[in-house]
Amino acid sequence: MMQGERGEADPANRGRIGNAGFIVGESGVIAIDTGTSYRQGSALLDSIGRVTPKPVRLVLITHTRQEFLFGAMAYRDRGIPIHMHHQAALLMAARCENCLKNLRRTLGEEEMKGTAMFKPDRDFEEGHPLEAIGRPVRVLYHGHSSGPGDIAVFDVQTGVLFAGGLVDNQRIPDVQDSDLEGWRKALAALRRLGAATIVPGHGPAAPASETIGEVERYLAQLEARVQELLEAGVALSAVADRADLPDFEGWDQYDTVHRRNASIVYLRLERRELFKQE
Amino acid sequence: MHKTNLGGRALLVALCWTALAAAATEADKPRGLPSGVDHTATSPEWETIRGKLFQNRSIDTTSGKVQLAVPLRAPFGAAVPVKITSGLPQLPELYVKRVYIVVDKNPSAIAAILDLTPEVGQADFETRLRVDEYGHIRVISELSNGELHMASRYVKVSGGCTQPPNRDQLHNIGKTVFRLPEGVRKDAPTPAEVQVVHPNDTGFELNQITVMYIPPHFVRSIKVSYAERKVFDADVDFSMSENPSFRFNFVPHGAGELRAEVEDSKEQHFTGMLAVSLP
Repeated sequence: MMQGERGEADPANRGRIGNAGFIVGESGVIAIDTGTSYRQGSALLDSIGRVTPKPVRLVLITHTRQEFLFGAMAYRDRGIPIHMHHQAALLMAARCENCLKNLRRTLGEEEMKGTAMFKPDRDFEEGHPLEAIGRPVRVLYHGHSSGPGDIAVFDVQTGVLFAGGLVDNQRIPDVQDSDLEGWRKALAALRRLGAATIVPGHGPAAPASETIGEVERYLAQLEARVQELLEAGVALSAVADRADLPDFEGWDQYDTVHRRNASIVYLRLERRELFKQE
Repeated sequence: MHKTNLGGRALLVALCWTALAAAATEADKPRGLPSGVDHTATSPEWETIRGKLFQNRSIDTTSGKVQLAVPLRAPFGAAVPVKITSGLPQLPELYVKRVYIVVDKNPSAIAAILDLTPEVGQADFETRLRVDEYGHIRVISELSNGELHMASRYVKVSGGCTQPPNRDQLHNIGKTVFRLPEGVRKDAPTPAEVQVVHPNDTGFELNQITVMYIPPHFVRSIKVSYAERKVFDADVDFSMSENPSFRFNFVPHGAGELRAEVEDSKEQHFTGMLAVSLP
């Protein structure tokens, strides 16, 4: 695992805020996520090269977030096929041109040099086993969860679960692309897997069960708190300030992603009410 | 286009220079105010709009007669809440006659023009805007004596990626509802909210499944009355968020009906009503 830094993408961290990982098998390497820029993608590949001389057979992109996908062209240029869920690829095509534009502005043209939109070499609809490296690895897909095409990657021998967008550790998970109900179900399914260790999308690796539990607890508290605010007639402008969840104050992005999460959940609950009213 | 970009970059540089001073004097600074913010700066887009709307008329930016609150840190770009507070009571002899809401960098920068009567009691509004790019939101208040007052905020939407538009429940389009979040106050400004179920499609969004552009389809006007007297008319466009809404005030002197007449860009007409009885 190659850990990203805390915080939002900015010039100091060069946008390198997402985790990436890799699994070394008998006959090669599976890489997981690609970083935020061509430059970071190259750096990740160099890091893998320092650990093993074996070839990288493929790279999996776990979800449609800039800090996980925009390094992909560095992999393609080295002949490594890019694997991505079909829904993740569609979401990327629909919106990521704009993310890239914003990233260029935030990090600068130089840092983002060579970074471009891409299409996966292989897209898939379902979870599946991978035989590419002579070691059992499973791609898990549990429907629309934290995002429409979010996957996790399970290394069967060690019980390490690369959870991508499904699980962050010590960082506020982002609900923007999520289906909360589907997310809860997917987390329950990951729990049943009995993984030992989670490599989260953000934050340090940690014991699986507790880390999944923390995400579940956050999502439950978020929804309950925002429901209270909606029922009390609080306007959207006041929601972010009044959606405090003291249990999670110490998590990375509490001042940003949590505030936005509260607004997003408010709008969804409001919409649900709006459709119900006769 | 090229020229505009250069202008934008120059502005950003200018903003960085004034960042520290602006941040330090921000009295109502919420947690995590970004650096690089100057709420009162102009922009090339604003200069153009200003010329179009107000020609050479002078605009007071320091009177406090109109105030604007916008979340400064990481608002959700698809629905940025904008709260407008008026610094004067809405009296027949002097009242806020019009409110303009401008988002400098949006493709259609004039998000809303509200035409008010003294019937609102207090000219405070809250609505939600789409904001794609870092830039200023402005509100200009035109008084019945012709004075213009302005407040502006620089907004940095975060996350970099927008949320795909919501495609479910299209059969509900046009459903228009009122809410009275704080109950009814006789003869006093009573807060109310009107909301229209509508995708308010801009024409710039891609359908996530087909990866084709969704054609524009948005609410053009919302006219609100109480007991058959006009409260306000809003001319709006796709800079308003999905399911456009306004929080506003009205002054009930007796029982009556809140009524909204809504028209969209396909000339569809919708109506919403709420019977109000006094306590």
